[in-house]
Amino acid sequence: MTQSHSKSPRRFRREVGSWLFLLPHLFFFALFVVVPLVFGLVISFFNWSLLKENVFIGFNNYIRTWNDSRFWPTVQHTVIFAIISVPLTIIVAILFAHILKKKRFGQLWLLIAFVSPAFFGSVGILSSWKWIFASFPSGLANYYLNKAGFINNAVSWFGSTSVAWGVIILVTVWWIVGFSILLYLGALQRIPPEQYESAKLDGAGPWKRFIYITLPWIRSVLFFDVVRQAILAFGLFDQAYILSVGGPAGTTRTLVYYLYLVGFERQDFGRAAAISWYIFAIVLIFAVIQLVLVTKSIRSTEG
Amino acid sequence: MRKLMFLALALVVAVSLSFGVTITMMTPLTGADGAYMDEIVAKFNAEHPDIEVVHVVVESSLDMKNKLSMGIASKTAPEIMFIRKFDMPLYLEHFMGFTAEEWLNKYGIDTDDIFPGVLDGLVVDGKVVGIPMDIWLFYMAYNRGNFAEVGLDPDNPPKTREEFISAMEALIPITPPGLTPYYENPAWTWIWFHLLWQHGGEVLTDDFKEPAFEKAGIEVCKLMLEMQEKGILPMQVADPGVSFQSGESTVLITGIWTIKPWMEQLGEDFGYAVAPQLGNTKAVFGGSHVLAMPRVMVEDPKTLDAATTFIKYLWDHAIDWYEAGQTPARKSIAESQELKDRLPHIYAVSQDSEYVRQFQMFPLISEIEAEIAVYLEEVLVLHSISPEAGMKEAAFAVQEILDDYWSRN
Repeated sequence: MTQSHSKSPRRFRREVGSWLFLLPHLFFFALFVVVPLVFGLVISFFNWSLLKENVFIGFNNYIRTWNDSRFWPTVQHTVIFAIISVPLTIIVAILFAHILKKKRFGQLWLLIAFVSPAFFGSVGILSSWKWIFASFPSGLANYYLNKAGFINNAVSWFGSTSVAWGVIILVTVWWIVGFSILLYLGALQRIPPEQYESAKLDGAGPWKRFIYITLPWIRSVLFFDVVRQAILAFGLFDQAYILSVGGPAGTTRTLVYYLYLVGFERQDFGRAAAISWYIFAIVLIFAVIQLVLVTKSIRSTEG
Repeated sequence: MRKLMFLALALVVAVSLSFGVTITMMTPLTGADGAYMDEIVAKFNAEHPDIEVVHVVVESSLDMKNKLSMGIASKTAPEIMFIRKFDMPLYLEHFMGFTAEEWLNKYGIDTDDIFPGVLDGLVVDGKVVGIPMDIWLFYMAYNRGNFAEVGLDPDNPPKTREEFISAMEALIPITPPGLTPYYENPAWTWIWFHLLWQHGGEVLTDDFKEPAFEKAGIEVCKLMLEMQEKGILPMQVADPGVSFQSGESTVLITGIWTIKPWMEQLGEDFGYAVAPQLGNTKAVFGGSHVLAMPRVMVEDPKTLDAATTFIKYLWDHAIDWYEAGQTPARKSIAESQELKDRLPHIYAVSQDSEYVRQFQMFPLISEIEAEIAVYLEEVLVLHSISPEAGMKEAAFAVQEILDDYWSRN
């Protein structure tokens, strides 16, 4: 009893010390994440305008968003984009990480080439891609495809829904895959080479080695990346805004594009806040489904 | 020590008083026209040592609106907005207004001199809340060399629908494959609005409660589809500038702000004329830059005086501004010999000013425009629905926006 009493002040001091170390982060986390989050929730229940008096309207913003005929197509577009782009980015990242894992001449330059786009700003990158995929004959893609004899007339890259999405997905994967490559590269380098060697001796081919050795080893990174990619996919805006301007015929409008229209074009901030909570709910559902699927698939390989 | 402190304080006060009043003007002039405005501002500042005008440029309408909303709410807005007229409806109640007599007697600005169509929508409770500086009209830019090559008279460009269609058909043989003589993005909404007004249509009813574009909109879509089928207008999204600049395409119906760059780039090959009338109603698309003062920022009489002094200066030096590629908002300048001598191209195009049609002053007009664009693309780019179906769906979508707006206002 006496002993525990004498330990308490020490323990308290140690815990206080830990909390003090955490304090700077907690302060900024509260200031820039928690407070805006709570504020966002509050204004979603208001008819909130900068120019008029704000009026409490309960769940009206949520109901109006739910009933808006423009909302559901944007949900559909975003989900389809996420379903395609998330696995694609992860597959490409693992593939490139595998390539980069092997030591070869010029490896560093390859790494820089793959990874650097992830650290560039959206406007600069997307303006360049817009020039590459310009619809006029002297646009870079049109010019070289024409020179190579693949096309006779200039292609309007954002004139059809499927091609527009194809370009958006291509640009997105190229842009964001770099950080994932770094993650997987780090994870792959931690795998003991003996495991691959013994698997080879047991007659396991590349596919089996990937499924039974690589995948379980990179599991935790994969979990993290799946959630990260899902959040990024549901936040798709810049590419649709700069490259296709939501077109053709609104078919590349995404959830965040819709939020932007309501929040900034209409300046209906209450409703924009409600839309952001819908986005949160959808991201959560999507991320949980993906995590369950990934966990199941890995457990089955482990079992 | 005390004396020294007193001296320093006196110096600070003296220096701050010597600068007089500082006025910020926010404009959307990101192009070459911004340099013209900078020059006018610099001249004003040199001639008025007691007032300093600071010219702030923002990238887009949206950026301007967001900054203005925030500025009004926090009383940090610029004292003067050089704002596109269609961006104003949301703020009409927040701008300082004077009666026409007050503008004339107090500030020497005769609002009766402004084209009535341009002043429409800027009068709130009998007070004029903004002074239009210019009109950016649509005009026809064309390549004189291409006209001559196919036997068309470069000095007599097409004026009617029949003349326009037959001139464009004549130009097809010299137009490279993949391009069209009139190489413009078919779903550019401003062209569609231009033609809508030329077909006697309007976007919304006068009370802004219902869409009013369906009937005329169908006619416009049919005209544009006809031009696409004949190879006059592209079937897909197009970026027109590069092809027109290179002389591969021949005609553009576009905004007056392009006239100066085209003149410089195409030289003697460049031709300009009033936009041809392709419908049954004499009309031309246009917008205006309007000078307006957020009320919360000019409550101090000294600030108001400085702001109105600058507005009057711009009013008096409007021709300097039209050099940037704008047509006059004032009848007396549009008809003046000075404009004819100094800027003959602006004078020629400004003869259409009395027919100018501008967006209705409804707060959600930009959103409505964006929504109509969706269905225009379905009809004119994807070719997935008929003009009738497209306009019906567009009208439904616009009605939804209107109903939503009126349920909250």
